[in-house]
Amino acid sequence: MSSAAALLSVRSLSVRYSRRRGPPLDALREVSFDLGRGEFLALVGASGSGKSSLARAVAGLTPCSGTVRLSEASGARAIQLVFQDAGASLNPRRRIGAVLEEVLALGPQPRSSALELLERVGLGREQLLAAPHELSGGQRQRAAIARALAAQPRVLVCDEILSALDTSVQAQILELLGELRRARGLGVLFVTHDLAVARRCADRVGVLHAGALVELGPPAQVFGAPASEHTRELWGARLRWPAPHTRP
Amino acid sequence: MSEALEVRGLRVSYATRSGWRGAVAGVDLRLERGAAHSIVGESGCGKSSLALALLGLVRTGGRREAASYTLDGRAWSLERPETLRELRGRRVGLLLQESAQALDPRLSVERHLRAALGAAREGAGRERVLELLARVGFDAPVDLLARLPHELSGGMRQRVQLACALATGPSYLIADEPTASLDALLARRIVTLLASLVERERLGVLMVTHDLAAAAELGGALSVMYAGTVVERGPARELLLAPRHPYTEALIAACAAREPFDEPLRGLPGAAPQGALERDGCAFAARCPLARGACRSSRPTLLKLAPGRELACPPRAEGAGR
Repeated sequence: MSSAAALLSVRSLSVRYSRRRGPPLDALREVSFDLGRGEFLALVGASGSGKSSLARAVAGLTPCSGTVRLSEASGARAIQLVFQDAGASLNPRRRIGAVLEEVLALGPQPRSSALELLERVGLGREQLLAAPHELSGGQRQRAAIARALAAQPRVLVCDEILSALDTSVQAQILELLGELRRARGLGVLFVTHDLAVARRCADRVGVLHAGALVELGPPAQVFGAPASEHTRELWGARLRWPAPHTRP
Repeated sequence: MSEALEVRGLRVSYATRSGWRGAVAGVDLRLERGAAHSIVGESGCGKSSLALALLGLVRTGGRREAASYTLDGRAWSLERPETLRELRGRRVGLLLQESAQALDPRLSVERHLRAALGAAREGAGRERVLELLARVGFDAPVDLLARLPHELSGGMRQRVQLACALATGPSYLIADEPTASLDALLARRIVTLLASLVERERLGVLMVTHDLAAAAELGGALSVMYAGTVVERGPARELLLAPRHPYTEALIAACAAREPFDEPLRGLPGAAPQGALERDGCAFAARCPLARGACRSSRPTLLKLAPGRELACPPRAEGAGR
């Protein structure tokens, strides 16, 4: 995506954590990229490469330097974060419908109803009165996405949202994200440790190493002809599907 | 004497307000020394209950029963506490999913391993500790001895846990989701370690996983579980390349690791049942494109389809016979 069409522009984003002992830790160093309308941008990297710091910084949940700018005038809630642990963004003592109404009430008119939101994420009337613990893992993650959508975001930042889900449920959530991108032009910034999901589903992939964005491009190119040694090492290490010629 | 861990007719149930609820509904499983066997399936299919039951363990509020439990040709009673103590840790080791809770936050790496060794023999020395750490792939084990769990990365903690599981010299290892939440480099390292335990040290390794690619890489046998039963079994790679059960097919179609990558992902509509089916019939029939009348009235059994291949799907088994 060219920067002229960018929905979200991130420039020189840095995150530094101070430590009780030793020098401060640079979790993210001068990271810049654009996210287009309806684009699915996956961010991968080894543990400690800065993926989650990036997600939190873009969502405004951690102190950082640099800029995060949306192209169109949007409210403060235009960037929403969905976590791995969906339960964490849902009040355990409130019913799903009430959680959604609460977020909707803060937004502009005209607004959708809680039921419309649930239907948009593949849930229904039965879940309106359910408490978070009464839902399956996949339903809870859908409810967390519905809660994020209630804020009418332009960008959804997903931090390892598939990690706790079963294979078939992961595919359902990926399908849902695809529908939201097509129907609403929602930009998705997708932080994942699952290289196969990035290779398969993303429009572009960014590779983080030691807090720096070392590579950014279409997945076939990034993984097929990596420019960075770190990308080569990471992709080479992935657990692989058997090759057909090993078939007896 | 056959060197294998073998269980027949294994059932695990949990007490609920409305009575006992089946989690594992009659599973036969054989794990040979020097071989790997992976169990895949989705949450609630009973794979973790099955793995724990092989160690004689059952979660709170649960009960297990097996028609027979044989270890290296000898029948064991899972009801006697002393046989269970002998079994757990000594004959069969356990490796759990990496988590900060798996190790005691106050104990150094050396104290963990000394404790694990102490259970097996008196005067466990530092040499044995270093040897174990080297065995799980630490190049400079001396530097590690004084470290506390929070000073280690997730992958390092996972390997320390594995060293503890190996301390008593078990012949079999049960690994429950050993690669979950690890990045590609660390997951590769753990699977490579498990494979080398199988090949070099003749351990029998049973891996419970939701990651089909991890099962393919470990190799050996693969059992696919659904609603407390095994629906298909065979050599891992062969089974993934040529699945026969409609559920295995659906699981593979939804798996992002499947290659080639340009084929679209297909989600399986609906949700997997939690626990075993309480009525007769195939548990997958409600979601199955091949389901016919008989599938809803009688429960399919796991039948030999070809050497090493077993299948619990009458419509498909008939098709294969033609």
